[in-house]
Amino acid sequence: MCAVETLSVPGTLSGVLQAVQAFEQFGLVHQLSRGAMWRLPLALDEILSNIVRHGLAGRTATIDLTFSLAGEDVVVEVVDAAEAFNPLLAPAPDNTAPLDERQPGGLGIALVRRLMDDTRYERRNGRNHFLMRCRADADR
Amino acid sequence: MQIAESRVNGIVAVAPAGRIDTTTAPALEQHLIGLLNGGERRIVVDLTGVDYISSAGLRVMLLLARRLQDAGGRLGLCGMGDPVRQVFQLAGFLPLFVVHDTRQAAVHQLALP
Repeated sequence: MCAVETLSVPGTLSGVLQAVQAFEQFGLVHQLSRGAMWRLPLALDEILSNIVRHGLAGRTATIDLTFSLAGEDVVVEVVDAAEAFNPLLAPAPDNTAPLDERQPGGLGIALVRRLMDDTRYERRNGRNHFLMRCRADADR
Repeated sequence: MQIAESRVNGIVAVAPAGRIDTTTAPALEQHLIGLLNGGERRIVVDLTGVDYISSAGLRVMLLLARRLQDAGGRLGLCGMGDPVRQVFQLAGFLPLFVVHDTRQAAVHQLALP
């Protein structure tokens, strides 16, 4: 099975919602597993809201998305023109600290890395390319 | 996201439904912190109707747990479906919370002196 869908959303919080809803529609059409249907929307929410809040920080821009189905995998690529930022280099938060010492930062990226089967970052032609891959039958 | 609320024996149970993510977490935070600011000290968050929770939702739970702890209150979570439990586990959040299977069990626990 092979399918590709591309779309652009505004780099705003409502753009994040738009992207998540578009992915859910893609997932329904291609009958992705229940696991893929929460892991990928969640990961998309984390990556996009990070770009909106920190990468763009109020600047107007669009974010380009590609959803593709390749064999056993669902692949989502997120491309933005914000400052170069590799989220995979962000330090993971301390998972064992007591309640008072838990830091809220970095949680989202750490989750994405653990929820996806593969994550990659590349800076190409002045844009950030973030790619994540999840098995289409995750948790089936 | 919809948020239902009910009250048994002085314990308030809050049941959000749908996704808790970047878009919806602020409304949940406002609701829960509003209860705390209104004097509630025993709060159950029933996650039965939650499809999944993102880091924005985890931050709300962290904030609520801290604020309740500081105020001498108690928090109980219940009704975690598989995606919600997996996210709590992956984030290392399970040890920070008292988690019950059912709302009844959570309310019962919080009702103890």
